[in-house]
Amino acid sequence: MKKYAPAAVLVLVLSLGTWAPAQGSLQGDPQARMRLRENISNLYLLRLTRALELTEEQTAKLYPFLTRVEKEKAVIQRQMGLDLRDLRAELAATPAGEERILGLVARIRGARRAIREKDDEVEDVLDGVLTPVQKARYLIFTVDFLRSIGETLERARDLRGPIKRTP
Amino acid sequence: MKKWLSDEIDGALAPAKKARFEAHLRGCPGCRAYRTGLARLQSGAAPAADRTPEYWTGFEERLGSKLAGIDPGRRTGRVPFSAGRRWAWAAACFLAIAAAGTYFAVSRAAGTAETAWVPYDDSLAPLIQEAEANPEFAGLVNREILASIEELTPVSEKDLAAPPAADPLFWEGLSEAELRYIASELERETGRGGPK
Repeated sequence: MKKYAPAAVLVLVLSLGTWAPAQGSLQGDPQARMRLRENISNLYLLRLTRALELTEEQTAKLYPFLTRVEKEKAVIQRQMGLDLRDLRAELAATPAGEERILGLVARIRGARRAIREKDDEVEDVLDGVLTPVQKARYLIFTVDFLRSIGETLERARDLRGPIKRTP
Repeated sequence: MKKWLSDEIDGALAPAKKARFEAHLRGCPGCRAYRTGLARLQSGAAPAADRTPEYWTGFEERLGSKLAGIDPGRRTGRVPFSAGRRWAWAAACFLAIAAAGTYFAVSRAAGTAETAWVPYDDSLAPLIQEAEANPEFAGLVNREILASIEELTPVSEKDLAAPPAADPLFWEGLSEAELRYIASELERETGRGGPK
């Protein structure tokens, strides 16, 4: 029996090694997702500063602040993504651990709220720096930008067909 | 379909719709029965050929002169109409005119107005039945219903709907490929050279 033990351990290690990446690939590589989100955030900031036609002084005040908030949001967003992935896994497990599920749901909700609070924080700061016309431009730009994301996504889905996801 | 039936009875159904309408009628006993009922109603309520609006306008005059000629002796006689009899004749005339007016109004309305006496469920059930069996007809019914809804409700402004991307959870529903596509499109639109 003892001579089969190393082989059994090897088989176990190999099967766990293939199972873990398979689970991760359901939502893609978290690092790659993070980089893509950062890229999108940077482009958002670039287009925002163009749309608002900020003065040098305003840019000096706002750009570092906006960059910092976007980074903080990205961290929260990343954690939310990981929690969502865990939540999916927990739901798929039998039996699902109710306590853990409740904890994850609370964390995801908290993260969602925290990101929205960051957006409110940005609006408060912009209120003190922007002119009325710039405030109006900010509002319109934000709506148009977010809508254009949705439209781009629709195009992507038309091109690639529906994407299957786990429930 | 009820409107088409009514239009067809009035001879106002567009020629383009007539063929589809006839095809539907052949396969729908409910609509055939409804059409027969409509036709019967219209033929029963149609005014007689000599009962034109001018006829009813002169009705009172003719009635008066006829009444005057019934018994010249009594009219010119020694016993004149008593006040009570005059009132009775006036009331009779009034009732006759009211009856004629009602008849005229009803006969006109039957020819033009849309009938609403068929219960809603009865008129819709055969439509749904046929739509379930015939995909082409289902498409037609669907288009008609959507057009009616669009007519009744104003198109909602895009600005009234919150963009889904405003929700942080939206981003977690995207695959990596979708995120990459969004990023590359933004790069291109921002003038930074397109996909990398």
